[in-house]
Amino acid sequence: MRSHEKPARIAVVTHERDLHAHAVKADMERRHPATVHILESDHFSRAPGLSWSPQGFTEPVFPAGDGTAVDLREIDAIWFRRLGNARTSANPEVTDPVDRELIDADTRAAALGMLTTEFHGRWIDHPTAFWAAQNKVVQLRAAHEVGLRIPETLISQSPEQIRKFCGVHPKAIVKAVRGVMQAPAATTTVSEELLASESSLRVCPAIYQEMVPGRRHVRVQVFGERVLAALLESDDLDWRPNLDIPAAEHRLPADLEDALRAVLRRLDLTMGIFDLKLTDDDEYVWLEVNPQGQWLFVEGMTGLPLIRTFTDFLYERATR
Amino acid sequence: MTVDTQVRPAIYVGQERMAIAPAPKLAQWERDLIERLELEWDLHKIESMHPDETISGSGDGWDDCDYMP
Repeated sequence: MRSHEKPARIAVVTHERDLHAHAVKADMERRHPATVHILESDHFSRAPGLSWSPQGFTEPVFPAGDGTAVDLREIDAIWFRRLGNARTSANPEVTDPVDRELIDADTRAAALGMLTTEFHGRWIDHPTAFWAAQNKVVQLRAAHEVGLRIPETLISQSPEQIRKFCGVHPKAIVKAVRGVMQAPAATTTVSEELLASESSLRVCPAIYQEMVPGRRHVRVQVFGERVLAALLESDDLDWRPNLDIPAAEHRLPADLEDALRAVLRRLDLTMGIFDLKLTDDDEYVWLEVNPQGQWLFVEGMTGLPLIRTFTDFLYERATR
Repeated sequence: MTVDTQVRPAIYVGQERMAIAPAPKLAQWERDLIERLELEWDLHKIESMHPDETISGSGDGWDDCDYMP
């Protein structure tokens, strides 16, 4: 720890058992004069719970995972990672699904309101920007306008439009516009069965894209100006379900790194986790950005110093 | 899928729920990290998790797009 560094207090809003948060907290407190409070969003009912009053009847404090109460007015930066957890261990005594949904919805609403009204430090990143940027339409537009190569894309629930698009792109893929946690779906190729199903096509929009060939998938971590990329080799269209695959550090061309930073600026983000594909013709194709995507596994698979790099980025944001 | 239904949205046609393949090397790295951090977590006791399922990756709903309010 360098003695001339500024002290900082940082909060992480996330779910229980978030290994990303605990790894960064340990590294931060070991190397910087900073304290990290992990605010587990599924355990806000711990004492003192959440309380707020516009007339100041109460202090804007959040219960932290270590049993303390954290005053939002004393925090320099919030790393806003997750707000909610469908697999939480909290409130096991509440078994009615509707009751659980209400607890989740109202806790999130109260917490978000308190955070956005009472916290005046630096966000990584602000919830408004974070959630807007997650929208695939918004991010595809941003990437396209920056000049990145993106797949030919149609987001539609029109059977006529979808069949026409897939006629032009015979190996087209389909994936969720947003998806649901209860039943995540891997990206797949559009089948004849699907194209024949008028009702399945029409019931809701989905993303249809040209097939981008190749087995080289690139996961790019952009933390501020820092860019660390990994090459994941998989024959699968969607590498996520199988992480037992070869992976190594990968260096991106400088102009591509600049373009990724430009996408983040357009989306009002300071960090993002990008998915690209590197074709057999050595062309990088942009697929999506996850504003608070998972990145710790990339360190586990490649040895890239992501915990250390993210920690330094977070500390710099908190003390700027 | 969770229930029988006559019509499935396009993304589910022809596929069941995304199946997670074991990633034992990554799972071991995670467990070593948890030990170094001195966290008292018993991941193997979480009923919804496969013993080799990882929690630092983006499989099975742990990526951020699943957490939008």
